[in-house]
Amino acid sequence: MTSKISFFKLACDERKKLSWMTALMGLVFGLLIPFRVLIVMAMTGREYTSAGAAERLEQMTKIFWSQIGFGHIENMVFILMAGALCAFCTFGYVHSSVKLDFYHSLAIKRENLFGAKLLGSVMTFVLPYLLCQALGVLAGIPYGVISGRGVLEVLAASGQGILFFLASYSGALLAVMLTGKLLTTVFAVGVFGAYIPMIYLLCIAFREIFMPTALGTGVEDAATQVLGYSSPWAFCFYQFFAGDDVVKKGMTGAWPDFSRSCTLAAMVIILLLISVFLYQHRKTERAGSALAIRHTEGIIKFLLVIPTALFAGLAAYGIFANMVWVIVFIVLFGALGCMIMEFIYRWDIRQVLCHKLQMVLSVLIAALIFCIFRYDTAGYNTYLPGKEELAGMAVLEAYQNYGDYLIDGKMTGNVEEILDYLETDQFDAMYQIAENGVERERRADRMNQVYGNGRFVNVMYRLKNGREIYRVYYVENSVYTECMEKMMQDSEFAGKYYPLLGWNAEMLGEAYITITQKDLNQLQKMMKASENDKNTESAKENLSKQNDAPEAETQDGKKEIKLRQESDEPETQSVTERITLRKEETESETERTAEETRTESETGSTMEEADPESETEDAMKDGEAVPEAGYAEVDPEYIEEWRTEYEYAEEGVDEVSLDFSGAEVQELLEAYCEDLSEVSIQDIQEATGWITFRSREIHSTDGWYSTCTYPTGIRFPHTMEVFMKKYEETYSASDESAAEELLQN
Amino acid sequence: MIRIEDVSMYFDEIQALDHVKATISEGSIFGLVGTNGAGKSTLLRVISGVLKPQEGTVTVDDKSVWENPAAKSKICFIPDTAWFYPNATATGMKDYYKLLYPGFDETRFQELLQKFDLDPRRKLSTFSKGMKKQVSVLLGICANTEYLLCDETFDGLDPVMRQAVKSLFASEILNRNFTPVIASHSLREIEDICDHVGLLHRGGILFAKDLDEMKLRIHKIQCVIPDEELEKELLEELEVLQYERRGSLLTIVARGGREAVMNKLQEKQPLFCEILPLTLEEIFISETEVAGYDIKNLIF
Repeated sequence: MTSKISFFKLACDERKKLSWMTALMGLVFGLLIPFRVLIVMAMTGREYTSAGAAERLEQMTKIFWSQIGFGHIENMVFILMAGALCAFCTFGYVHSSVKLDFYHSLAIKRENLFGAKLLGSVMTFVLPYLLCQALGVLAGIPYGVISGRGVLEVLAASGQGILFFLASYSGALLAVMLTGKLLTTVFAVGVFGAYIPMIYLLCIAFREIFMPTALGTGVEDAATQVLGYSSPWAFCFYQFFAGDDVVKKGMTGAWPDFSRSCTLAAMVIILLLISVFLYQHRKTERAGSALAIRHTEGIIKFLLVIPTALFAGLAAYGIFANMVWVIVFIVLFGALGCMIMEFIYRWDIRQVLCHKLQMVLSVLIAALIFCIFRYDTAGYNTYLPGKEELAGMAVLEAYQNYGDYLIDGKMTGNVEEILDYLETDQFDAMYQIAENGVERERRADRMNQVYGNGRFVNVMYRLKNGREIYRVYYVENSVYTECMEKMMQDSEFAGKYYPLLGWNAEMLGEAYITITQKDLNQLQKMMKASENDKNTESAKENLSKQNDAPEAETQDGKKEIKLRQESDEPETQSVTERITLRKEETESETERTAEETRTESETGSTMEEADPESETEDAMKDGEAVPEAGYAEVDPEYIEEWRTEYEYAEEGVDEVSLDFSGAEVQELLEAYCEDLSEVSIQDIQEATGWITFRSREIHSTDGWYSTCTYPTGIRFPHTMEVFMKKYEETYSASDESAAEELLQN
Repeated sequence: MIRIEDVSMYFDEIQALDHVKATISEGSIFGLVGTNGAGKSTLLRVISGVLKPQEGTVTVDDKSVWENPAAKSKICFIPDTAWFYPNATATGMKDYYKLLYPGFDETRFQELLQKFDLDPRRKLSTFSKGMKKQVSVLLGICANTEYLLCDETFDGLDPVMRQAVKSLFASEILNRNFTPVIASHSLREIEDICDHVGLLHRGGILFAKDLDEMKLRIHKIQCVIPDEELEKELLEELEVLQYERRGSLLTIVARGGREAVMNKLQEKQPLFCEILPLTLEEIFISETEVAGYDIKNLIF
């Protein structure tokens, strides 16, 4: 007999033998797609019964297309489950010697048998799935909501669904081919899906704990890539939930990224090819054994036991902070892991210790890896290149929220890019920062790490050979302050360090300032004190000095930030004038409103009418220091009092916030930039308030905002001036009504 | 012709087949007998292409069997435990075999089902072990392959069914080019039907010969020789496989031609001598005893 077995007939026969699966797919997708569409459309129709025809049609159309096509996590989850189930049921025969006696004695090559079974089983999904999608679309006909574009999207979504099915199928199939029993196949699927994320998590944990100087740049992006591509199932979820990479939004949902779909298809093909190879070469007699390839037992044991032991070691490290316990846990869990693996392989409790050498090796390797990280034998954390090796350096305070930097016309928050931008060859001061950080690392007690009186600083070394090295150090505050003060003397560096100084004013949207109630109280007192003639003149002089300050220019040469005095707002009153006027208002409730109205159109000074003496007496009675200078200067005794008594982080501290929008933001930005270029590093570090700017830059179809938050407070005079002006405007009306009420009572 | 050339097969550290050599000619019924764990089932799986030997080759009509549909299309393998797909009926399996063996004789299968009184629409999972065996054999025969490998096929069949299957085999051999290879413990069954017999022991072939020829070469002699010296001489001259003495009666199993053995016997002037026919079982026991598999050591 020389007639061949027909491939397609065999595939059709395989599909018939899995008819129960076809029925199951048909039932589930029938409920998830056309049945759901019918129910939802019926409910929507009743809801819009009384609406106009156009509105009803619009709503019905919108609702209809939201029920099919892209999206629908429940569909995807079932598709993935169906893929795995299909693989188990179709190829589970390779785990049975009885079935293999039948199939492998047939006059058909193994790869042809594989192909026929694959095709037949895939059909058990594809046919009912496509049918249900078609029925779902047809369900919209009675409502007149069908469109060619929508149908096209449903087709594309169906293609994506089939791809997801094949991805899950191929992953599960690989697990089937690598194992010899259903139980180990299920374990294998779990390991396949979770192994890479587990290893990644382990690497992150070791990095976080034992490499504190490692700069975590791109960790989140790397995580997305690593986790997203770690298994076919992870890839499917990654593809499904990819939001930022949406190609376009369609009628039924977001279209997926085509290149990523191609990558998934390539992954499917590769997995299937590996499965075919394994099927061709696996030994029939391995059916019923734990693994199809005996020699992989040891390798898989190492791959699973060593990370498990390392996790146990980390747990012990976290709980006990004692290396003895770490070693105990590594040995215990390493041995236990080996025994469990042996039991899975042999299903015989008496043989759990049959490969003692592997057990010892895996424990030793785990312990060695742990110690290498724990004791930093490679010197990663204490690495400090010599000055002569360096071509440039950069520093950037970590955990600050200075916002995105405008680099080469693009906004970026990437730390490495920012450090590259800030690089300078005048790095003597920076080197001291690095030295301090490295010295601290050398003395650091890893197990009892204490952070205090310092801050984290990102550092970049550019070596003369072109190599870039990134670190983050914990540096003493005093050293940091001293070095930064030196660096800020370089105006070019200062201009680059604060990205706000390089922001384009057209990009601004909103802003808000938050200061403590205590600061506000002090500001108000200072305003009152400045109503005194002597203080008024001093304030005028100070104001005049400030007006003479040179213009600031942005680093990128874009629109320069002008000083407030040069703005086209000649009618704006000076703050000192308003402070005087406010004093007069307090003397007479009835004159207050008229005075405000009058003074808003006048520019003349009425400071001479102020009577500061009573205010001064009041202030002295309270025991508070009266600032001799004007509004722009802060009482040193107040600062001292703040330093010794005031803790910003304490609970119950009141804050006052004000929002700014429109032209106010421009004014605020100018004032703050001016303060930024004048205040000291210590002022910045000890500031108790915050100023946040928010820009608007369309980056995706949904838009995103770039925000930056900087410290501010009573030692930022220009900013406080703008703040108080806004504060006055905001609360003066309410004060008036309260005053009127008082008068009436 | 199936040629087995120096085939060795290992399962991890266990050697299942040890340099097996045998030839199965067309048109004969080959019986494969062996001790427990001798490797009979393994050898059949190697011949049918289910297992790949670590050493040696198996050819069918000069074509290697392994992953060769042209060679495998000439073989149908009926394993010890037959597999039927879930919820299969005899009719369903017939249709499946039609797909897998394009030469399947559907009509003949229907006829045989009737003759064997098997319900074609009943689920095979409800059949007894013997009935399942019957269906397997019928499927194998109707597949119309040149070689039919049967592993322990007669076990589980009642005596009537055994005879029926034997007559089927005989009928097939007469009507077409058909060579069954039967592996079995039941030497009586092998003796009844087989022309050639191969004896496997611990993975190796002890012998593979024509059954009649084998019987011609081993004889059981009962004699009474009064002279002890002559008796000793006789035992030395003959190629004795085993002997037993009960009183004066000496029972000897010896190799050699009938004439030669008788002549030597006559020279010793026996009071009584007789050559008895040996059953295959006695031949089997004798040969394996020589090889070290002493049945007496297993009997307590």
